[in-house]
Amino acid sequence: MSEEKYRKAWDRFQDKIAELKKRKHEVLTRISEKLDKQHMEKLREKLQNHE
Amino acid sequence: MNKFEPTAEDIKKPEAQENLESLKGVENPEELRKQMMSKAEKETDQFKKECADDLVQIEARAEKDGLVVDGVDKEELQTLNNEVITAKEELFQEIAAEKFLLSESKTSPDFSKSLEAEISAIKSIEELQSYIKNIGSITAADGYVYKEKELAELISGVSDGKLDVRYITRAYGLRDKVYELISTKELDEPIKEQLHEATNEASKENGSENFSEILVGSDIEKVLDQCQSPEARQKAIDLSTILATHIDADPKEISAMVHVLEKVDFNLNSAEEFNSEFLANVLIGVEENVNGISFDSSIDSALKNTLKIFEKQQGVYYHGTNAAAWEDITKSGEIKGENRGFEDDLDEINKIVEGAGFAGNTEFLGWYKINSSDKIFVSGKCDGVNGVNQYAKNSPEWLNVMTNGAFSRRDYDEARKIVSEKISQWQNRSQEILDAGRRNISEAEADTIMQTFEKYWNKYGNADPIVLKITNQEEKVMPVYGLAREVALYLKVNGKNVDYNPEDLLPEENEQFIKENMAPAELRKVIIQFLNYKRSQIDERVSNKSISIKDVVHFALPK
Repeated sequence: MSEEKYRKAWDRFQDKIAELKKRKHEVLTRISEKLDKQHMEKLREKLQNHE
Repeated sequence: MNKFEPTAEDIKKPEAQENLESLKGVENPEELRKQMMSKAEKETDQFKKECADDLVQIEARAEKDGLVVDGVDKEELQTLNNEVITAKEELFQEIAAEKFLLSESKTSPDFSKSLEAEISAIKSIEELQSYIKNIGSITAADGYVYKEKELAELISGVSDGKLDVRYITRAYGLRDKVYELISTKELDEPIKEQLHEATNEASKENGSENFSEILVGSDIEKVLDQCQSPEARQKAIDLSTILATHIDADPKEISAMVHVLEKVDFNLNSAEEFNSEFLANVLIGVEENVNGISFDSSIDSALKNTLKIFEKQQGVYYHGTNAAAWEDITKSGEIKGENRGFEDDLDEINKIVEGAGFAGNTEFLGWYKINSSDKIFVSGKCDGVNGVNQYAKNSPEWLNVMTNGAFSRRDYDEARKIVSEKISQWQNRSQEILDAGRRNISEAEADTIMQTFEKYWNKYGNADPIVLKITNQEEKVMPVYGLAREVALYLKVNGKNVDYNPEDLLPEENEQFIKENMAPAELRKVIIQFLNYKRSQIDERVSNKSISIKDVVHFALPK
């Protein structure tokens, strides 16, 4: 009985870890997209400034 | 481009299974428990290390290209760090709590559960008094037996304000119930009336009387009625919001919007993704309808439609909030005050949670400190999940975080249960956690948290979500200049070397440049590029000082 409960708790912990990893990846992707945006902005500025 | 390649694998389910496999051979429960704790410790440390490594990698790349990593995103990575520690703590608590659970099973769990459920369903102090009279007595966790008369006097004392609620035993959820019954009040109706008046005034200032009610009007209701599932309905609400916030407050435009919406079958999966291409085509459809010209018939007609779309989108942002916050806005005349009124209460809770050494205070209170600063988060996009509609439903974000999302569903019972469970967890921490220097929170601290939850549920629980469209946030240029810039960018991105500055040229020269280089189909792609750019402007933080209330139109959202 105890073992079963331990394993269920362990599964929940693993699910949470998996969720956190997914969220981490989402944050990192968002950061990457924002950096892309900044990059595009720089291009826009260059065009605007005739460089 | 700055494509990110994470140092760690994405979702680590396979490894999780591997760990479970490796634990299968362990027969002694105590040994199993120890191994789980050891593995959890290692996984937590590894996750924290990966977060730190990824951040170092990103910052190095950003620095190399002269770019800046958003501070909010960096903080979110830190939150994930905190959450993994919390997950580990919870695991430790669960597997350490086994002894307690076993000893408790000697009592009668069925009886406890039924008593708890009956008390939970009670709706008034009178009903509770009558119930206590029927059951005769209640036995507290420490074995003390509260007789009917004593309990009745205590409940009356608390109800009359003569006694603190802590005089009531927590057994079977009784204290929570008494607290709920004495603190739940109806929302102040006059506030709603004032809000309605203020809303109308704001609409008049924008020359758009009743425009803010368009999404809850009968035309949109007809569209929503065609939806056969909650998912389809949500899609229809999302797209309606996108269109309403993209058009002007003009009967012709509203009619065109409804016409376009009627043509979309939200019960099909095809329209589920409101990507830039889909949105561009829908917006073009509205313009074709308003202007009575087909986009693809000639470059002149494509240009005319495109310029209209550009004109409407210049300097436009969106923000999701709630009706109670909107009422504050209309009263103060500021889009957001520097102090929203909840800061002191939340600082107090933060102090309690941090003082007890709980690592996930951000998880409990969300980003309230950032949200209460003088900046607001605005979005350049307005679509479904993670868009402003979602922001609006979750607003105030900290209350939604505190209740694990139950607030967004305005589910009071579930929200209260979640907060109670969190509090209970912090009051009954495992010995290992206590040995590690953390402490349980006190009864008084638990009450402070619960009272704060009740206080703000009272304010926000009936506050409907609303979307704000904020205009004039960029210096306006003639649409033809803006479009010519986008065309130049499109050409450059597609490998054509363009030495071109639209501001050196007259409007007609810019128009000529566009016509010479673009076909209608390509202009569609330029609109998509522009909308992609707009949609990438998410989570921008704009100083509230720069936003005038006159530049804000609000939209009530359908339920």
